[in-house]
Amino acid sequence: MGLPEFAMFYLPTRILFGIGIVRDFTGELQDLKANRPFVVTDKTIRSLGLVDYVLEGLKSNGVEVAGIFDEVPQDSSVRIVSKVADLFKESNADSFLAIGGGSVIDTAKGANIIAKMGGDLVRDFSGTNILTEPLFPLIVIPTTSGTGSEVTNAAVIYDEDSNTKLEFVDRFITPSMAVLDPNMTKSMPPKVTAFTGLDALTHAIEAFVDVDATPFSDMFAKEAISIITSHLINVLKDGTNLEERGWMSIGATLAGVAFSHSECGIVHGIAHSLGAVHRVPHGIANAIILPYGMEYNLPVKEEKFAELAKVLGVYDKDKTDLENGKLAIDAIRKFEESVASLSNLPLRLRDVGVTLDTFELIAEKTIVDGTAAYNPREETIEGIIEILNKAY
Amino acid sequence: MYFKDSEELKKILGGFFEKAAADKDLAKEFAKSKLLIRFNYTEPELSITLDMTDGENIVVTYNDNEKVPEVDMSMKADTAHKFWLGKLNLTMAITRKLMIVKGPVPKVLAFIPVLKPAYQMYKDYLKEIGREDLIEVE
Repeated sequence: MGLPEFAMFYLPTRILFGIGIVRDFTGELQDLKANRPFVVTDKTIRSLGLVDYVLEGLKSNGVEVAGIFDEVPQDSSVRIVSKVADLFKESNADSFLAIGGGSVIDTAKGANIIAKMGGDLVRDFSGTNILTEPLFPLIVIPTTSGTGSEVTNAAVIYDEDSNTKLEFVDRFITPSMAVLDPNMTKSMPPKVTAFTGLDALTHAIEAFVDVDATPFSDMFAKEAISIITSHLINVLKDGTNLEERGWMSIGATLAGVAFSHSECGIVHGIAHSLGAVHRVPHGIANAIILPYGMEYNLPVKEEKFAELAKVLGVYDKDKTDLENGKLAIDAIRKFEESVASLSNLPLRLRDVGVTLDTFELIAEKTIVDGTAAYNPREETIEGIIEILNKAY
Repeated sequence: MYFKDSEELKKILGGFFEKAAADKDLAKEFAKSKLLIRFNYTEPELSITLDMTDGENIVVTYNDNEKVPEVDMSMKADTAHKFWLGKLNLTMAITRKLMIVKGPVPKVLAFIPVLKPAYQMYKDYLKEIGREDLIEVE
């Protein structure tokens, strides 16, 4: 494999892992000077008792929260972010504590920007690397094993005024600390466990073959792929198994580190378009498109896909890179079928309400998605429609 | 610095954008993005706005504070010069803060494939105006 033209690795997030660790991480909070955290979460997480589980632990160790906002919707929005920032300031908090999935975490990232910097989120901060100074400490406790947002430098927030999803990419919004505790993910139902897990697998595989992949991101991507394909089935067979849940938490976070450095490609691009046109949930869209997106990229990344075959344990030394790449894709397809059979996860576009007459529109949206710049093979309308037809 | 002052930057890089705007086919290809983008250059200072909102044409203006850009890109003029020569990876430049993007980043990234033909055009243009000395850069 060739030497990368450029490589950078940056991970400011302290990662804590342990069964029951969310009950006591006060020592680490003190390191961050986070003495009065403001909690950001959603109604579902709160109703499951997960917020109380964390807060009781913190309280018994002498930490009082400054306030709680539990109304984060499924898709974070600029209006919600502004509201959270206002409440944060009123509460005299000194840090954010996000307990939830991607939308909750991204809300906290956005609120942290305006709570610290003031100004207008959209006008002043939408874009890349605009911030010039550190924000308040942001501690994240993920309740899914999928988004990886607990270790990424990005947030996606919906702007009601322009009806668009805005991207904020900045090293200063990367969480200060991620606390991974399998107790926080054990209540996920099988279908959510399945599509969040396959979302994480997609992050890792796309990060591994994308144009900006480096030995640094590869290291995290390969380990994530190995962990997720070894443990997701076990979690689906027994969702209460904390050891298996723990492995999935670790795998998803490793995948987050990988794609935070080398980004995602055509699978995510199509998934974004499927979400916009047909409201297909992101993780399900990724799961459906993943093997076909891999097939599309195989001709330009044979060596990488052959290496993937090694990670997946299907490598045959007597075969060419291309043939081994096909073995890797077959292995992923079979893996997804096993996941689907245990979780009722749909794996065809026709089963999630997608119609043939929208393929052209989906392809047009995909080709102008930001992920296109990172995909190893140039994206074409025809190529995307071929993927959609295969996945239908 | 490749450009000795703002006037030279305007003449060379601005002149290049004006040449692209005059090429109807190329302009139409660029303008498919319908972007209103402002490049804020430093060392030397100049801002160039490309208005492609009609989907057909590129309207080039300088130090224009009236149009409100959808995307604001800030960089050193040398960085821009290397980019238009095709010698700078845009995603790497963004990661390294050599370019700071304000506005919808995906729109900028999606714009890249459209720009590829312009790299050769920029080199040809530099030869045409007698500035071959600017083609070979580190």
